[in-house]
Amino acid sequence: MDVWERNQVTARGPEAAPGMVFAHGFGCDQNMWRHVAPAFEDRYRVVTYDHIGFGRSDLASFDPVRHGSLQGYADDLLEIVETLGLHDTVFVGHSVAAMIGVRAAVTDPGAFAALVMVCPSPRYIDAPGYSGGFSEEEIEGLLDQLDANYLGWSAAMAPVIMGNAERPELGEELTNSFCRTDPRIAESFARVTFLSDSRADLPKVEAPTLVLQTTNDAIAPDVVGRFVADQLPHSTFTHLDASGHCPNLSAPAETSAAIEAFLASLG
Amino acid sequence: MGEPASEPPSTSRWAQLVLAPDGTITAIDDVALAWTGRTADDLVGVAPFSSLLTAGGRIYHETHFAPLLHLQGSVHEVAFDLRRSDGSTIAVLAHAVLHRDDAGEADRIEVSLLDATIRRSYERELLRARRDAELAERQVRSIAEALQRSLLQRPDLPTDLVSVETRYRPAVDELEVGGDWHDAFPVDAATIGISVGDVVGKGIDAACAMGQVRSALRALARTGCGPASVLAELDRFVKTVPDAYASTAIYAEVGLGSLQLSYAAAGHPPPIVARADGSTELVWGGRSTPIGAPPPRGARAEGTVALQRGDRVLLYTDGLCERQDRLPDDGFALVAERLAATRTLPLAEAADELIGARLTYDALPDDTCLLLLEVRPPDGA
Repeated sequence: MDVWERNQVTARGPEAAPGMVFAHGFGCDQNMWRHVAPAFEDRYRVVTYDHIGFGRSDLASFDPVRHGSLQGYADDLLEIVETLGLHDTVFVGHSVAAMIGVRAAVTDPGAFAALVMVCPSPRYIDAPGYSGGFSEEEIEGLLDQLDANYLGWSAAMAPVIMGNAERPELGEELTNSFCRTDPRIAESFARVTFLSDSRADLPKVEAPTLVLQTTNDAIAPDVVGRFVADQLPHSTFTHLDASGHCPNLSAPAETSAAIEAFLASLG
Repeated sequence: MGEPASEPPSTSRWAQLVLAPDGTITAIDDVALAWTGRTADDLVGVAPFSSLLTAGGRIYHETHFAPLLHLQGSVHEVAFDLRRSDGSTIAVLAHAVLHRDDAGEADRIEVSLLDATIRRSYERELLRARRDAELAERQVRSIAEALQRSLLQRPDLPTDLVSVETRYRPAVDELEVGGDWHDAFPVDAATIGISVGDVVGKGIDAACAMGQVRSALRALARTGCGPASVLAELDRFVKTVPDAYASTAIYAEVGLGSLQLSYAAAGHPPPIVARADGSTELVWGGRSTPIGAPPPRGARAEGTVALQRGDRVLLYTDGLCERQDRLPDDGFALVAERLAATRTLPLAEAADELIGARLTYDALPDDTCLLLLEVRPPDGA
């Protein structure tokens, strides 16, 4: 299984141009970037992909051990960057993918020229001296929530959801398919997402980083976004008018413009 | 509490809300107010829809519900729990439609909530049943693995003249314990016994029967009566083990002094000998009917092959070559070809190659095992 197929990698834009990799967060798939990524295709080799276990990635490549921590997802990301031979790459991560990018940047400091974090949080659960916004019990409640919404998952639907390269239209017919996967994988990724603590990684990121914070983000509140920007050695903090956790869908123009301005400032 | 509803709200199963594109509640009906125990003043123009949900629900709302609404324009049948002012929750199914204005900009979101208390209790039952099933599956799997580990241990032979590699590959459905076995053991100080067999059927019954037949074969072989007699005694033995009836098996002995291979096959695919010179031969002699159904007249047949230093002998079950679209003979010939092709590999690698290159459709859910024996090549070869 090659990396392209494994992560359902899509690459657009001039092949020789600097790379720009968009990674989706917990919940859905690379469609989260459908209104943002195209804005950069004229100057960048724009890459979108699905984390293993999501979208049309290869579910069989999901490894409970490798993908039991952010490192596994970071290693997948670095393999994509390497396989595609990207250079001077800008990494754009939404939600937990921002921390996947951090882990990748710490693992291989040469991998990215710059990072963009959309609604990042290095730790969702409160800790002494740190407010993440959630208690452990509340995160357990999320797992119940996932269970309640995966009763529709059945053997009959699995092949459709798992992605069928020959007949991609099959997936489209399925309601909610953008944000659906095998319950075991969803639970594993939920645990990795909401139980990880990436705070210690932040000061180790050498590349310039943009932190995009929205208004009224129920998952990554203001105080968390500012904490991320404070901890990063070379950060730019931009507050968007957009509200909610997914400005890449609800306010794609504002999101693209903020990324654009940051990239321009790097020269 | 909000304004008293004109009808007792508890009798209504539907509630409706309208949200601004950013999720702020702009209108909420009396049913929803009664369900949540809030007032319109608390909510309208102030609170986002997600504030009515449990913490898990809020995360799910942000990570699934809201993105889907933007990607699909609508979301259906998402299960949420509404928080009530007294701390309890009410299970609902949410439907939402995103309406856009003429310019294509998001204008408002209409949300319908269906009281799903009863449905949710059914679903909890289903979930519990699924978890029980998963637990049972793990238990069966561990029983199957323990069985296979105990029965299919790596052979330990007290000689360096003969080496044996064994491989077992489970069926496609790993829950289905198979009835295939391999075995290698010393018969006496000058003889090595090897067997491969296949009990009809799958599952725990087949695996248990396999364990009995395999052990019986080894015990019988150690009496020194020779391959044909061992199979004849097995015919009597399986009368007490109905699940082992019609098993196929091959039993062979290698004399460490004579290097003679004596063998008897009961309805089983023929052994293949790969000579040190690169040639292979399917060994068709020494054949008779499956175990438990002895030949109507006379004793079971036995054959012999003279081995030389460096020769290899392959015993296997039909999973290695069975394919519905070709004759068995073609399958055997293919296995022989593979054996010849792996001739120069070290024995363990050759065994890996052979089991990995199982020449069947992957869809055929049969388990497979093989035993590859090598007579040590002459020193310096």
